[in-house]
Amino acid sequence: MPPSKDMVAASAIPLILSILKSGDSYGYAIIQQVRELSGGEMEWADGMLYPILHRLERRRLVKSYWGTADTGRKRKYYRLHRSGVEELAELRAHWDKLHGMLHRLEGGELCST
Amino acid sequence: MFDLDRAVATWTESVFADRCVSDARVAELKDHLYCEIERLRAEGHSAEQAFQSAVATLGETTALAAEAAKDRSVLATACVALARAERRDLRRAFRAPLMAHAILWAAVMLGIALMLSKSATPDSLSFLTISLLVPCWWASEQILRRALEQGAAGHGR
Repeated sequence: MPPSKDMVAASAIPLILSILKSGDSYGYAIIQQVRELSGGEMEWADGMLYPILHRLERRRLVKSYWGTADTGRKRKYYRLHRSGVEELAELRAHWDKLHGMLHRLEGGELCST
Repeated sequence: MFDLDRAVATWTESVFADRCVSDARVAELKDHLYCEIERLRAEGHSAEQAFQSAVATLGETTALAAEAAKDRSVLATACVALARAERRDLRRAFRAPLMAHAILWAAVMLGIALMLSKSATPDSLSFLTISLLVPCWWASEQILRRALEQGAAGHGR
């Protein structure tokens, strides 16, 4: 089952930051990578990504620069900023905690009855 | 013969019809579109098929414009509002009253400026008076626009 819209929205920033942590990238490649990582289940609307990237840039979590694609076309690349690394660590801690909570609940550890 | 570059340029212009986005944003969207087109062409689609399919994947132009709007700065939002206001002015019925209003205000400002220059009013006071007239003109025009739009809506009902 594909993830809900809310789930997609909530996971977008940690996913983008994680992808950029492994190397500079650009919009189209980020969308393709998310599709591949999710086994085709997570389809980001193409128009959704850029406003998020621009917001991250304004928050100085990422920075952008113009490069040239193999085709010779101008291409905007994004690079993770140092504050982006810190933000990612914080987000990962939240997600890990949530995952741990769900795992414990599934294991029945927190059931009081 | 299908001209891919022209089709891409026309489509991009339609997304940002109000032209209130930077060239950088347009270039970024174009690159995205070309990437998808290249992928589809590598799969064996013709340029035209690839373009149609890529545009469909990228989403409705209105949806993209709405996404872009979330990302606008205050200045760009003001620019869009101005562009929309200008488009509204293209209504033929609005042209004459707005033009008459502009001429009237121009005459008023010119008249007051001439009067002030001939009188013994200090320069600073003259400047202040003219400066106050500009927001008055703007407010007056907004009131007139609203009245015209309400009138047009009333007729439309």
